[in-house]
Amino acid sequence: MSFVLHQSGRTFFRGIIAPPKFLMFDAYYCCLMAGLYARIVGSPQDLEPDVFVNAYPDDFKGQSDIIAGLLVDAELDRKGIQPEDRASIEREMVKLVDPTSPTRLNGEGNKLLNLYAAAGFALIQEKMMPPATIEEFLIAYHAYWHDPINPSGA
Amino acid sequence: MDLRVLGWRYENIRGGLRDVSISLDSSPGRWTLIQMPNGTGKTTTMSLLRAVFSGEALTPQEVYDLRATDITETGLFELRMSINNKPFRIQLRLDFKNRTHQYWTARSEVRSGGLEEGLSLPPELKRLLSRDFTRLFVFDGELAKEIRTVGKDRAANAIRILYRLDQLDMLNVKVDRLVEEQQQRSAAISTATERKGVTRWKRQYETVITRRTALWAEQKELQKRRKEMESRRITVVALISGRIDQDEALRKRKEQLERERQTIDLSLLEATHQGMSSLRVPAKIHPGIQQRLVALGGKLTHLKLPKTISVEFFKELAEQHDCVCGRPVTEPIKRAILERAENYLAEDQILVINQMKAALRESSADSEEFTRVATQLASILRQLRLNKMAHDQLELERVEAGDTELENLRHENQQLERDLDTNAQKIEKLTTRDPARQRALSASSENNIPLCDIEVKRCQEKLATATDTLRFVLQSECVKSLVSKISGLAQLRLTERVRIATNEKLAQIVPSESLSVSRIAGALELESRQLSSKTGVSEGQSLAVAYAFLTSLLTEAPYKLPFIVDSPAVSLDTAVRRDVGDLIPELFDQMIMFVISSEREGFADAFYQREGVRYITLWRDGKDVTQARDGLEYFRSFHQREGAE
Repeated sequence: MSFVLHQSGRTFFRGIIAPPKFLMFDAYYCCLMAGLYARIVGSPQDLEPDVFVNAYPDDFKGQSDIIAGLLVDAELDRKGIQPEDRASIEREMVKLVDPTSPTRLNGEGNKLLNLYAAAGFALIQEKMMPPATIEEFLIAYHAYWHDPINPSGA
Repeated sequence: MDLRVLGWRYENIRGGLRDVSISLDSSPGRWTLIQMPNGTGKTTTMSLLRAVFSGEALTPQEVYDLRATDITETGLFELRMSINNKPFRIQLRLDFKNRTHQYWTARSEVRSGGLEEGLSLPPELKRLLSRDFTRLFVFDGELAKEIRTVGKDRAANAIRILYRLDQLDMLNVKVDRLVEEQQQRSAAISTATERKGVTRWKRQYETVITRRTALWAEQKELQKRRKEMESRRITVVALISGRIDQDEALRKRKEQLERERQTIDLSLLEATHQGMSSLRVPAKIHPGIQQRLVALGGKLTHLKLPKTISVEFFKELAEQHDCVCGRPVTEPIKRAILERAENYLAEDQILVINQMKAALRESSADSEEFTRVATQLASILRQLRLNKMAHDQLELERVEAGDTELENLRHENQQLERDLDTNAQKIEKLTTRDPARQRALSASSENNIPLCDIEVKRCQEKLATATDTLRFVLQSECVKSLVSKISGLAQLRLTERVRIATNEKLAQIVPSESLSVSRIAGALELESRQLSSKTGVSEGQSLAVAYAFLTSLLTEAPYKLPFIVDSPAVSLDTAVRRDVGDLIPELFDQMIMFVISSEREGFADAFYQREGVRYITLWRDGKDVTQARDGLEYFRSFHQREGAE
């Protein structure tokens, strides 16, 4: 598993990256949630050339099923797979799931996750300034999710 | 490598040290306690020890200040030690008249055994024993503060030097040299036309390398300036606080505001922590996420997904002669079954999807929690702003009352803030890798290091092609990149190891304080249970942190060094002294401790029951000449009025 940030993510979040309080993965995850919810994927050209972390940090290990589920949900919707289309839904799962991976996702699933995070970053960047403190970010991120004209549709 | 101190000798040194010899025998005990009243040359001895270990160049004034009396013309300090069981003798010869000094060394490797001019330590040790590094084990009380001072980078540098990570940087320099040599060889055997191309690319390559070196220097200078400004800002803030304290009424209001601020900080820390916990659970971020999770779980249940028939079932079926329906499985049918089997989940995938389904269905987080925390955080930040405004008001009142010094300090603080902003912008332009920021800041290879790196690489490849050494260059780049990654990773892991070990020791030394090192960046950053970051630290706490850090650093290092310390417990409470006295002895193979009589209680007396401790007492007699005496009895009973050195 290899997580890759949006190429502007590091600069945007640099004011608050302070492990263990706020990890680079926290930044990635916040973008990912926005991207998955909006069901928009970014472009591979938006990504940094290097992987920033290879596995879920401890705080996220318990969320692997949920994150994989959100990816499946976003993909079903993005591809317009009908809710009753049992065969296509199962095929989509086959494409994304790898039981041997700690994230439950295979290479394809991982790649998509990075693209959703990249798209999420673009949405967040549009709505907020680079945060200076973690608390300011939490408030702004909450506001992002509750903005009535949020492009994520939240 | 094992370094032990065997003794030292003074001739005509200030503090009455006219002809004094300290011998720790050829095989020194683990612990040596040297009792020296203030004014008998403890600080001088520490300085001299540091000088002879590192071979540092003394200034003419420093040499002159070491003289025993105004008429003394020459002096000497000689250190005897063993390095990997081989004896070494280093002399610092002082010429007070001409204010000059020389180092001389006698070592067993040299057949004559005589003295040779210069400091001739084994190269590996010589590289290690820089002036700054020596201060770690010939421990300087000032260092206890400096390892926590932003801008000094003592802590991180110590780890880098001690674990020889600088050698990895050297390896990259050697690789560059090899590439250059190879290209010179190739250019020498080219034709005249080819040589023209080589010369052209070589010139371009050198230009861009020079530019990059200049950009690195600029970055270093900006970072240095930044650290200086940050350090000055800390001082200015302290000075502003001092000005407020001069007015009794304002001081009381300030203290009240500080108490409020502490409460606000604590609430902020707790709320932020809670906010991060909520954030890290997807279902808590927004009710919409929770709804989607539950809906997906419901959908899978409704569709009876995953199917119970797995890919393995069809693969097995394809191998049978007959299908379950009784018809024969021919080759085309077998191929069709195998092809379509790939649309089915494997058994282990089914298991995972079932787990996921269960997690989705059971996902029942409080989706309003994040909203509550965000609201609370906004309210706390409002309180914080009000507190800051009230604090600012105190300063304004004092300025209005005519405190021009405070007014100047406030201006300086504001200017520093602006300068720090400008500095950050310059550093960003110089270092950003983000293409969007590079465009926004009009960065180019002329003013941005990552873009200049790309240009270096391009010129290097052109040059390599011209000299037919492209493969060699690419391989060397791979090696260098690998070495840099190893170096970075090693630094991270070693730093974390030292941090954890430091905190374990701190918990032993000061269990009641819950003081811990949160991060080792350049300096040690502290935190306590009460606050996220801790800046106000007492001298005793500072010393405890330094001991915990140094012992963690030095005990696991590939070098065995003695630990020499001046007044190890003087600023500690008696209770803490005992803990330090119990803990420290076990941490080093050789410890030399200079103490004053008041440190006997609580610290020195912790050694009385131990075997293998050497006790030496130095004092100045009636003729102002320093005398030395061995033994515990004299050490315990010695009493002389302490003066100031």
